[in-house]
Amino acid sequence: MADEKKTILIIEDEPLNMRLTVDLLEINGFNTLSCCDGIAALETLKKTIPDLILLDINMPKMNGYEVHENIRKDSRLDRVKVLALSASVMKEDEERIRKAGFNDFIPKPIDTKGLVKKIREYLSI
Amino acid sequence: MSRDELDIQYRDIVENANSIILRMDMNGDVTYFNRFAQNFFGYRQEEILGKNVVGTIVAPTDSSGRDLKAMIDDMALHPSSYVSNENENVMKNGRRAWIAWTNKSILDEDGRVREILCIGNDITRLKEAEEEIIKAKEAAESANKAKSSFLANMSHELRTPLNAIIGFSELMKDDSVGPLTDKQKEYLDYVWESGKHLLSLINDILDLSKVEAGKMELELSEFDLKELLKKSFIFIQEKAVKHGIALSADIKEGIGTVKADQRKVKQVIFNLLSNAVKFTPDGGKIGITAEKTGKGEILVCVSDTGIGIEAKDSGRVFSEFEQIDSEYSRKYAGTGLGMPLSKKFVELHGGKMWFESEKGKGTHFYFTLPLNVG
Ligand SMILES: Nc1ncnc2c1ncn2[C@@H]1O[C@H](COP(=O)(O)OP(=O)(O)OP(=O)(O)O)[C@@H](O)[C@H]1O
Ligand SMILES: [Mg+2]
Repeated sequence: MADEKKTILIIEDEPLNMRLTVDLLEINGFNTLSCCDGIAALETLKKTIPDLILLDINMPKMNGYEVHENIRKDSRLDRVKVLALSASVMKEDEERIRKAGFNDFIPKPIDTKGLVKKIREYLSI
Repeated sequence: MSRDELDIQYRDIVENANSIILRMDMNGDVTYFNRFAQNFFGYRQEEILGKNVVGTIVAPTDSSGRDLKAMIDDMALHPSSYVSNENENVMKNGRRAWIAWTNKSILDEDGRVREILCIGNDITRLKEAEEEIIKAKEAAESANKAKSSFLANMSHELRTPLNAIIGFSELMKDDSVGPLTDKQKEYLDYVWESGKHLLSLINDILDLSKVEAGKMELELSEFDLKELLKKSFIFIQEKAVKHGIALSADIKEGIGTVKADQRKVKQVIFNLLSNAVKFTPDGGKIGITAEKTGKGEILVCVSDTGIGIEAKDSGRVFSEFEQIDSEYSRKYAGTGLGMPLSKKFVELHGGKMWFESEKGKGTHFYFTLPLNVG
């Protein structure tokens, strides 16, 4: 079990940012699942339970807060950590993210090494 | 002077004073109306005596809808609340004017209020000016709000492409997608550094606009300043080694835990050190010292043996977007926001920032931090 690859679900609407996170995590030995909006992500989560979720905040259709609320209603996902990724980095944005109960806040532009390190810490690997 | 002569003299003063002087009884009926009032409001004496102020010089409601009839009624009940009072009045021809009134109760032998003596001065122009100021202030506030939200949007929009620029550069730099030639590596470094520079620029502009809007708050915490100062050379180590610049630190005893905004203090030191390496030619020296002063503050100095600042240019160092044009500074990327922001951060803590410099010899930048912030 220990060396089985962990799976990260990435929910992000901007294609280049998605590509970056996917490639970064794949290079660093993770499996990735990607969804370009919240609705698709909630569909995916009905079928699979990832080890961790990276969730963009500013998205059309359903924003990150709503997606997060839905995730937290689902007890099957209780143990799945959700990290918010956002280019809105004003103090008010960060406070809102913390209040909403995300496990962490990652400001964009991401620090690639820092993000990988953080994910490993959350997964205790 | 006889009693009669005195009476005439007083009457003359009241009649001819350059103020509105009137008396009214407890119903609000006019019992006296001086000549100035007659000229001002356009009523002859016989037209107004015995008439109620409401309906003559007081409109039932003023132009903002305030109920002036109720005010006059209340005045008869509570004269002491209207010792000085500003309200809108109306002239016979319908023109409105703002008058500042002083009102004095006139008592009878039993001590009951019989009449009210009112002295008024036209403050219409003052009021208009005041309204202009309020309007201008509101306009400025809404412009400021628009500016803040513009900056927040700009910051968000710029960060999204920067995420790709910085992120993909980092992926390539690590050789994780295959080895690069030296030239490719060099160019990639430029892309990455420029991306980082752009990011720090966005952060500086956001910070500056917050300071200017008076919205920058200190996030105070206790931290070890000695540690922070000792570790600060990490910021410039690589460049210093590359340019043969010697680094030395002298942190005096007693510099330990302080209560301040750690992120901002760190940024000030980073800005000072990055200027020091930027403006010091190869083989120079950079030092950092810290000591307690007798005045309950810590004095930090970042010194270099660089190009120095001429006295005539010294005013520009702390001005936004100003860089001293020299053959040297042109070689280096910069925006001219580092020092103005640093100074503001220091001042938010209640400290000061200044420098001493000699052209060609080097520069000493100083700042103080009070031991007890907040
Ligand atoms: N240690 C120094 N020696 C000589 N000149 C200096 C020194 N520090 C600052 N200056 C002068 O003051 C100017 C303003 O400094 P400031 O840090 O605000 O801007 P910058 O370093 O040019 O750009 P930025 O810090 O925004 O990247 C500099 O451009 C330089 O001309
Ligand atoms: Mg600078």
